Amino acid sequence: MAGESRRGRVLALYHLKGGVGKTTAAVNLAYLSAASGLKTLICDLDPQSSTTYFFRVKPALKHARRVLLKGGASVADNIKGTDYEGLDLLPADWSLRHLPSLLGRVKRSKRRLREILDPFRGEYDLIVLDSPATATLLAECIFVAADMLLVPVVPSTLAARAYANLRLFLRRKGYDEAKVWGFFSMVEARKKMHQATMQAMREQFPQWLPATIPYTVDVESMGLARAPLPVRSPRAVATRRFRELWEQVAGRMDGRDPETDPWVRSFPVREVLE
Amino acid sequence: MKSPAASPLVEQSFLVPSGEAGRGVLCDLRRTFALSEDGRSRVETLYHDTFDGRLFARSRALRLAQGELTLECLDSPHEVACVAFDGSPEFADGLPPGALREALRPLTGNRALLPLFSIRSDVRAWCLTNREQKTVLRLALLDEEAASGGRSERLDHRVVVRQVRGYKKAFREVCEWLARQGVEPEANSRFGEGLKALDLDPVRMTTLPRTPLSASMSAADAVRAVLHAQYRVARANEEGIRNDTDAEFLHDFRVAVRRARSFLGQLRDVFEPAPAAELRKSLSRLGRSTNALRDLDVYLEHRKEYQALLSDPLAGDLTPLFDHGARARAAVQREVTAVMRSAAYGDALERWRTCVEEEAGLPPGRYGSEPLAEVVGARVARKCRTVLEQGYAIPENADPDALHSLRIECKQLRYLTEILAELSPEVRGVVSRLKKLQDALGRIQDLTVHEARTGEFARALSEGGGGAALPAAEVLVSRMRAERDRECAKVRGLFVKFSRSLRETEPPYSLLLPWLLPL
Ligand SMILES: Nc1ncnc2c1ncn2[C@@H]1O[C@H](COP(=O)(O)OP(=O)(O)OP(=O)(O)O)[C@@H](O)[C@H]1O
Ligand SMILES: [Mg+2]
Repeated sequence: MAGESRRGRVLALYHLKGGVGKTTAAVNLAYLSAASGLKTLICDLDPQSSTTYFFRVKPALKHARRVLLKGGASVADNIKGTDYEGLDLLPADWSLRHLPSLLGRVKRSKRRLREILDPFRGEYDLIVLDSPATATLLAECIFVAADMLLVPVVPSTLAARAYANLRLFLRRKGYDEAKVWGFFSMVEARKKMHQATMQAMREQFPQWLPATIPYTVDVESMGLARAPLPVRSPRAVATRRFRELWEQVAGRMDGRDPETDPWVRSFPVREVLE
Repeated sequence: MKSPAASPLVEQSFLVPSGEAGRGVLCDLRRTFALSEDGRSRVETLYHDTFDGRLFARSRALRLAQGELTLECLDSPHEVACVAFDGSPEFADGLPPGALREALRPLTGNRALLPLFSIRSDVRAWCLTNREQKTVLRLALLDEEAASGGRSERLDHRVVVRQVRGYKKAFREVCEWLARQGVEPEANSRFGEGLKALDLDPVRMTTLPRTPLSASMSAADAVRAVLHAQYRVARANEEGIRNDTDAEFLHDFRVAVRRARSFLGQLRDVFEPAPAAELRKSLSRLGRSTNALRDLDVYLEHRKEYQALLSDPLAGDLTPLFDHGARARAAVQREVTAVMRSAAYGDALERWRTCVEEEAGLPPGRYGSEPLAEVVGARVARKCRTVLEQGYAIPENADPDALHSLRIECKQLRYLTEILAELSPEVRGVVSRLKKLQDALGRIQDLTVHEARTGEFARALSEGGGGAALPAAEVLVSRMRAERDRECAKVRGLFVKFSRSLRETEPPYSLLLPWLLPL
């Protein structure tokens, strides 16, 4: 909006674990954000380029090396408009697999991503990061850059262990845990074990968003349709759940003061590993 | 950190003539690029301006569309500011805080925003996709109609080609293709197209409409034309007074009445004395019936300024005083609307109309066939003499009573010189000097009247048991007096500048020369 300057926020989909629904959530949340009128940028940080594929964009970056090490115009030049009004994409390409090691060689590397995104906060209301399953320097870049770290958790065996690992990793590195939020993904309602795991984890860890995403064929076939779920299956149950999830994410990010927001409480992480 | 290259929305509008040829181009466009349909919608855009076109005068247009209020610059098509907005905008002060309100406030002043015209757009969206079925270009086809006051006109078809970020080639190709078909990029703003189609003037009425006059015109014809213009101003402002849109409607109405009355009084014998006197009397009554409302309007317009004369706790104590004033005003407003519905009011305006539209209503008098310049010039010279005599007699520290008559004389001189300024532009310098002098005199008058009002209101409040305003009112009155004394002290200087401007017209006193000799 002319005259009013934006101060966009950064939402990262992250987990140490692969295949938990990070990309699926990133694509749908970014779409819903744009549809709600927010100018949105989704950044594909994963060399597998799944997000890029979803938006039918060629996984190719001009001056790939510069993009996430230098930023500025090299990022701006690579941004592509998607099929959806108000939603832009920074694509990924295969060369991003070198990113963690390249980051290791630059100064102040952990702040790098944040600094690169910073000027784009003036242009976008929301920047969504889809990250690969990684615990490298790139992960730390993402922790620093994100205003909210959203973690999809599949309530299967060992889920609690993996989640505890993640929180421990954040704690040991001294990151602000108040910005970490979990939600359950790929939930199979019929599985008793899923229900039990969810209940146990909700008691064990703080900060869960109430919306849960069911495991459904609609979601699975998103990859075939190459379109966000609300476009392809506007009335599906999973679509409704993603809408709920978006409402809750938007509410959490809506400039609430962590001090006064009852959602943000400081829980002791029970050391389940020890 | 290097800042990213700006990513402006790259967009180009083309005008396609409506009719067979235009339709052909659109069909070809669609076929050549295999464009696919991407939905339809309808958008209403409503443009606003003040009654006297203040935004247009500064090359601005204010549009309301899809829940957004946007101020655009007409010289270089870009947005100045915008804000989410529901409903219909009224005063700039009432808009949500932000850049738009701040940009608008100095432009509109105390005038209300009124709808000017609307554009209804039927939008067909098309898109161009690549091999991956990815959208690489968006087009919108707009079928538009401008409407105002029950009238509507079709506009040329418009094709808006919008680049999808990162896909420059498709954008370039389509734009070039359209140019090859001889389709013109749109040069005018949409606002301009709408005005042109509807043949609208955003300046719906000015206080001083231009009346084409020439020096050799007969005095009766010219003055009748001037009276007619004033009649139209009065009529044009009636609705705004009745609806209580903003205070300027009444002000402009009164100025029109006063001007007309002043001309009839000053330029005697241009018309037959009896009907001229009748009209003049009826205009006086019109003026008087609105005095009280105008007084209160001016008083309330000064609210902020007067509160600023007091320091904080006291300034707040004035609130009940002004609220009382606002209630009094509301009652008087109702009285005025009642008057405007009365038969006597209708008769007065009808008399005015017959006098200016039918020669029989106001037949030419003894000087009616004399040239306008002579008649007005002679009168201006006489008035000038009076003003100069009274002006030079102002003591160093004049009191308001001594300035009262000078104020009236200046007003009459001003109206007459405005007619002269139509004939010869060099008089404009004199008019503007005169205006500065009048402003100071007007302010002294306002402060004198408002001092009395403040006292009245404070007494009325304390009789009603609201005594808290009394001490604040007393301080306000003393500040008003001090302010007035300062203004009084300025008058002499302003007068000297005015009289110098008379001497500085080329040649000195040029227009007045023949009549000034006795001075
Ligand atoms: N709710 C769901 N229901 C059914 N299938 C799902 C659901 N969520 C994700 N999937 C499927 O699971 C697979 C992994 O999902 P996704 O790519 O979103 O996970 P990810 O965490 O991004 O994986 P990676 O770590 O490889 O980036 C995909 O094939 C996706 O279609
Ligand atoms: Mg992924």
